[in-house]
Amino acid sequence: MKLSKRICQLGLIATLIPATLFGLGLRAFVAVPLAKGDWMLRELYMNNDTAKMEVMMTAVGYGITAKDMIMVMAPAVVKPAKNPSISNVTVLYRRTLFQKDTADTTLRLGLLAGADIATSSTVTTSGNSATTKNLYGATDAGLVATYFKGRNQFDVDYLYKVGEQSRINSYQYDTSWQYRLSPAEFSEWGLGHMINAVVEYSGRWNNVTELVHQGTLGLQYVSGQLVVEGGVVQDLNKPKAAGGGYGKKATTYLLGFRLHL
Amino acid sequence: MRKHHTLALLLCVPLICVAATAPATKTAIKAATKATKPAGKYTQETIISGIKGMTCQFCVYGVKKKLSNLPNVQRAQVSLKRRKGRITYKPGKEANVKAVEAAIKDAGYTVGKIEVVTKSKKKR
Repeated sequence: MKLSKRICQLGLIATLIPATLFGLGLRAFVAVPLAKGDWMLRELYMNNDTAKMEVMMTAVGYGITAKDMIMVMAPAVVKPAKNPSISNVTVLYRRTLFQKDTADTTLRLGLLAGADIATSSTVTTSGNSATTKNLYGATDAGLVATYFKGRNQFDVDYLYKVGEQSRINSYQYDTSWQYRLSPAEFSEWGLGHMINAVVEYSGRWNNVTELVHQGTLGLQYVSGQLVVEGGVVQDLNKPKAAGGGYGKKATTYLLGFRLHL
Repeated sequence: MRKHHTLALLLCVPLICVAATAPATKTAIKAATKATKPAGKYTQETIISGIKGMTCQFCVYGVKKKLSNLPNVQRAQVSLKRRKGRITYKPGKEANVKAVEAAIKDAGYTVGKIEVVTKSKKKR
């Protein structure tokens, strides 16, 4: 497999991987807290219809303190099967830098820092020779903000990845709006159910595909410690192809759940 | 006809016996309980605390879990509508405001106004 094709595939996986672990954005990071000592698990199946690629992402988060959390995201390529089963694992640390809570609003800003750890290698061919080449990791840094009021939650994030050695640099941004469709009013006490509509506008950039803007529409069902969610991500512009010209606009389907342990 | 009367009698006798002994048994249990428990009053304390910054049921779950795990807590309830927590302590146990504040902060939220409600109940 040519390296450029491989880079394109990795780029495609990167565009597929939703950033978030918890909170209620489908692809955006959020700055809402994970309680100290609590765990969060997210499983998300992603089907890219255009590239015929299926990815299953497992993400685990842990609340170190009320302001600090760590998350590990491991995307596994399900289809096509000849590709490495696990792509690069991302480890991210989030620190809440600013928090302003009132009776019915909250505003939080967080810092993101971490790394992509190379977990697989690929065979590259050049002419008649074939060599095994390790994939390289990256160092990640970014910011995330969340604002909540009434039935609306807004999340904004930006994450830049500096590639090691021959790995290309990349960045992503997400803006997310979640609107609570039901219930209009919460019950007096206890855990209830929620249905949210999710609208997101995102962008994924790297040296090869350049900036691909994406729109996401989704629904979430939240019940106590469980969230079941689904959505559709549509590329809004064509990505640049490695060999020149432009590729196709991709459509990706998301289906998954999160569990607060 | 006589057969039917005999059958009815046979069915009625045990029923009457049970009905007659049941109130007596209950009274006996009550009397025994009274005899073992000393008469007097006990108090039950409840902390009602404002919790700021919750946005969804996931937040409610996290805070409720933290509050429920506090020592001597009988019941912890969280309201997303009121942005409040209601922590009821076991009878006779003292409410711990500092522990509640710490639990809410550990969950990542801001503590609002706190009040302690004490209810006195008669022991039977």
